[in-house]
Amino acid sequence: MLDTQTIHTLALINELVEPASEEEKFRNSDKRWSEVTLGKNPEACKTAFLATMVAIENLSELSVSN
Amino acid sequence: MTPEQYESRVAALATYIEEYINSVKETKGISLVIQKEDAAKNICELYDRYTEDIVRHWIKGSQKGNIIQNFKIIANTELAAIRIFPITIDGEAADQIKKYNVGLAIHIATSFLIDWNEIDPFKARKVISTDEEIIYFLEEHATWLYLLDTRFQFPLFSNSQVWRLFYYLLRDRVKTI
Repeated sequence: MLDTQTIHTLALINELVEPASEEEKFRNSDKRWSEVTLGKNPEACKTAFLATMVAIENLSELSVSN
Repeated sequence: MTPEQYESRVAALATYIEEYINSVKETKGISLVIQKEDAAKNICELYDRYTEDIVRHWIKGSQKGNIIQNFKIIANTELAAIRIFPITIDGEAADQIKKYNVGLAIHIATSFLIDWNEIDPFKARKVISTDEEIIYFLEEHATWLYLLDTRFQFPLFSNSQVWRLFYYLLRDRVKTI
């Protein structure tokens, strides 16, 4: 079984070896990367808020499940 | 980050924070108070500092001016929001205050994710409220954030993978509708 440090290291390595084409793909897609429209989509905010409430609803129990 | 990117990112963060505060008031009847006047700027500046100090240092070929992949931006901004801890609630216990700061960080992250990745918000809403795996994923991520002490740990690379996987899960579930 892998310990936490090893898992974190593997995660880091995976990020580092991310294919260049992936970043290139994002860089070339103006629509995907548009900063201009950020925060101007109320439906995105409403959906994000629903996800937020789902996430924190049972937080008071604070038990990390198996 | 260019001055234009900075201005745009701060404006988006300010919108997400305002939306969160208004929605909590509307749905829960709880009045959240911003304890840091420049919360959006603080989060954005901390994000930028970690991007320059950590992210660019480690990513091959990444130089100032290049675009950082969006899952890293989401993960880094979420952790910055937890570190800044912008919200308080008058007369409320510390665990509740932390819970709503965790909520704000997740709200910012999911807002960026949906805004940037062109996920249909209406379909996503249906999935988020009904899909057990999505719900479980979000609950577990919130618990992890709650227990994380960002004074000592800032695991933005592994958190970036979390958001990448969440995006794949959400995108695939949305496709089934």
